[in-house]
Amino acid sequence: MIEIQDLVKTFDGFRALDGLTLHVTQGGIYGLVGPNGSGKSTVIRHITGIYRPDSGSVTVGGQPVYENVAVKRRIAYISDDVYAFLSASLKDMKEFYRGLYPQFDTQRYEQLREAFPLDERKAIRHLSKGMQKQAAFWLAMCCRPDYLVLDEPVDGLDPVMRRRVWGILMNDVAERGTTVLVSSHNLRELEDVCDHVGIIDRGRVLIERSLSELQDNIVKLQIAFEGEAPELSGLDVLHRSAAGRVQTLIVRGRQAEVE
Amino acid sequence: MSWEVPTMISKTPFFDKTVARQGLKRTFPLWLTHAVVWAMAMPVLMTNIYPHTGMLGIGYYILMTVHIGGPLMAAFFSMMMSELLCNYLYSARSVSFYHSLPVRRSALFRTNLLVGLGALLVPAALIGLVTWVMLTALGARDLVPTLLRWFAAYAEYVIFFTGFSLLCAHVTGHVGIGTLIYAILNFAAVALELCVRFILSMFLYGVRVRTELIGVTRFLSPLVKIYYDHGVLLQDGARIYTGGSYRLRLLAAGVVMTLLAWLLYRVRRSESAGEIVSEPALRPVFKYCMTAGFAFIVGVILYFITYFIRDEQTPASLLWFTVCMLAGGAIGYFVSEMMLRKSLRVFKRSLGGFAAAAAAIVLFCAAIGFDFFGVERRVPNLDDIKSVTVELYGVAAFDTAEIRAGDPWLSDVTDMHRAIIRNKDEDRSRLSRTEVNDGSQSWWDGQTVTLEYELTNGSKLIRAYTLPAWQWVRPDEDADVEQDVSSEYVDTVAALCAYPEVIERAYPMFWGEGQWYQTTGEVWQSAATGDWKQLNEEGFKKAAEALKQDLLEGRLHGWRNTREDNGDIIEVTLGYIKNETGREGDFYDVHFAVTPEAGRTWAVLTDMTNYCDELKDVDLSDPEAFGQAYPMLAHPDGWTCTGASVISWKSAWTLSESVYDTLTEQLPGALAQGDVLPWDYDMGLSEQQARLTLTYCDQAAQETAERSFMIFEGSPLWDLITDEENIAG
Repeated sequence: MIEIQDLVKTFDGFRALDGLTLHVTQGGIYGLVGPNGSGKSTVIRHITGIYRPDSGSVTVGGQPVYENVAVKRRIAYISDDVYAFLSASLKDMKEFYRGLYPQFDTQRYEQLREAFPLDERKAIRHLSKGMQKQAAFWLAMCCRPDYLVLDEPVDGLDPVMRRRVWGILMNDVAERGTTVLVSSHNLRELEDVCDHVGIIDRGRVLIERSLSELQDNIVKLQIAFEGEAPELSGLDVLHRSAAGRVQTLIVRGRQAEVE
Repeated sequence: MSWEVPTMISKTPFFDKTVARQGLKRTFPLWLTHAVVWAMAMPVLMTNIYPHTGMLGIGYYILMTVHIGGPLMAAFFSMMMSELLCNYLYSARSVSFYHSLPVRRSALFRTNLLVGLGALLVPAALIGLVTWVMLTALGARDLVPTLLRWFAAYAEYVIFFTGFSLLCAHVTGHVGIGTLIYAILNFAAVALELCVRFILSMFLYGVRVRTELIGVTRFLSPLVKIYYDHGVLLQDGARIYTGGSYRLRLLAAGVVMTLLAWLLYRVRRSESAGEIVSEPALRPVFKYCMTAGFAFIVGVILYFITYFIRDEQTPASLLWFTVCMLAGGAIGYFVSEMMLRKSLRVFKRSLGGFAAAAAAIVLFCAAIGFDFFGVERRVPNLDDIKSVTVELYGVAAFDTAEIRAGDPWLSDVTDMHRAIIRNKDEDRSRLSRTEVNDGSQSWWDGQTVTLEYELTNGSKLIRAYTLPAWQWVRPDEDADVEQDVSSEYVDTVAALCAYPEVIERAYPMFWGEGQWYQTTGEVWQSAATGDWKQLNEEGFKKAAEALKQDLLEGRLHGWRNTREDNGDIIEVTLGYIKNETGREGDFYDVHFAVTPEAGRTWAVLTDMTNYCDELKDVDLSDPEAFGQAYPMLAHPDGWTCTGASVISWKSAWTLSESVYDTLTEQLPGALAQGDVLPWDYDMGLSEQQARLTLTYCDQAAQETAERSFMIFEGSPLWDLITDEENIAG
């Protein structure tokens, strides 16, 4: 289980996370959704032990993450911007991960060759963005993590590869009970994969529900008003934005009732 | 800044093999280059040198490689290793990657530290070992202590510069800034001292810009101190590399800086990647250091370009100097703000902060310009003075008079010093003023008097004043200029130089203080002797005694009062080695311009029997010529060797009587084969060459003759003259 309580993080006076609380159940696939700049990547970097919280707690499997090697060995992380050593090939990175992750499975590495048609001797930096993501996935899955943390994971992947990746991931969840946290600004993409969703905005989790509950209980409306937009009392508006005369609203409630 | 980092206690290794392997792989070109450079400098070069230098020489060269190459190699390669191993801290992507790995930060730090040190020191140790093997195979013996000294010195340099560069690397979150800070700090103390000296010399009477840096500056600038103050000496028959205690301090400083770097890393936030200064608490330090640095350096340059360079005689302008310092400080302050905030729009927000810096700059300038601390007015009390040297060129036969605590005339010096300060305005107005009287032209010219006090608290006070001295030129003299120099200051210094005790301190070799050995006595431009010649051993001794007496009687003068015409001058230079037991000595030369007024010396220098015979052009293969030049060697039966002395590189000794006959027997053959050469004053001494001087007595004529030879290391006679059993005393 991944648990975050009242997490606060400030960057040069800017409060990026404002008392954020989040729960990811064991063995689940949790989608963290929010607009650009809402704090998704910041949350993920706390969960993976990169950032130190200003206040609040971040625990994985009941243990604090920061500087905790035993916990971090159970976490695999794929960043939105994949990093590899200069001139390191996939093979080099495999050896590196094998040295750090005791559960690294070389058999799995061989098995996944078919799924990821990459030249493992080529420097990762010379691969395209999508291929770099594939390489990152390949290595992460071989670490046999108990927790998989993905930041915009399918960004750059073609539709076929996206299906393949989700398929492998969900297989792992089913077989091993891996807990997955995925961040994206695209809820539509996560609908097919996640069983729980958290909506984050301005450093806080607004809603945290199972997907089915959310789909039943959250409605997205786009309305064009003639003239000035009226106050919408009686509606539990979670989010409101405007583009010209068109207002986009996310409202809590059943679709039929809201409409 | 809190050093407390909330963590989960978990058992983790001290060192991570995987990270270490990756670190070595990434830095491979660097440490390989380092190893190759040392391989060239040590086993390859030393094995080529050894056949020409022998044991003592090779020890010298081994230690010289670490003296000359060690600090530079350590400074450069340690910095590069630290930069490469720590560069993951400077990018958000890479720092996120590393800090998400299952490795504690302390293990990351320790691993990188050990990789950095190991990659430099392990190859160096192996290279030392290979050097030992190769030189031993060539016949060298007992090299282990020298090689251990070599390695220990290099290790101390590497540990210091690694700690230093790691600290610089962790202060910043921006690539390249760490290197820049490192480069600047290596020489910051020197730059600061030179700037401060320049500023003080502009505004404070008597303060001059010297080339010699003060001890604190040298201590804080290892690269400067090592090259200026340390070296390789011969002591008790072994080569030593001086500066051991300083290197131990460097080692300790390196350890402390490594610990500070580690502490910084512990509290460092990953999000500081890309920031100029990683730790917020250090940002004001960076800002105000930039302000001060720019105020000094840019301010001084601006002042020099816009004001000082126009006219050196114009008094310094405190107001303009303050403006230039403020301008320099402003540039530094706002540039640093821009770097820290990563924005060009900093002026409005930062004006308040700059106001404080500006106030400090104005206060500093006022303190200098109005001499708040009484620097200009300072004359030490008599009780605080250990000694003072007074320097005024050309007044006496010697230029520097040493006056010590307890000398009755010490107060003459401090009185003169006070008078100089008191008469500052009047003296300055006299300089370069020209007057015309009775058809002759005269003017006030400047002469520099330097006073260097050594105080009882160990510090030094140095002042140099350009003072007016009256010069007079006769208008009807068309060839030589007659200069009659006088002033109250010149008279005071001339009087000091007349005291016997002061003369003795200037020429201790004439009084036999310490162990002084004479080397060569050379005479130039003598109307009596022709071109220039060399005094023989007896002539040297006579000349030294005569000079001593003439000095005490005041018959030898400085160049200002010595007339050069019609060749009534003989210039003589006597060379000495001061040789303390077991250590290499130092060369000293004393030079005099002798006129007939110095009757005793003049008589010695015009007596041709006091000079060496010219033998360098003798054809040694011609028996007759050889017999004429070297009768004591060609027909030894009629001669008795009465003395044998050797002068080598910074060392001199006499040989025992037991080897006189052997030398006489072996010299003819050695001369014929070219192992030995007749001594020529064009030759220099080095570690591989020594001068052997033999004195003989003609049994029939009861005349003495002296012959000198150049002996080369590696020749049979070299072993004979350097064997300790053959050395007298």
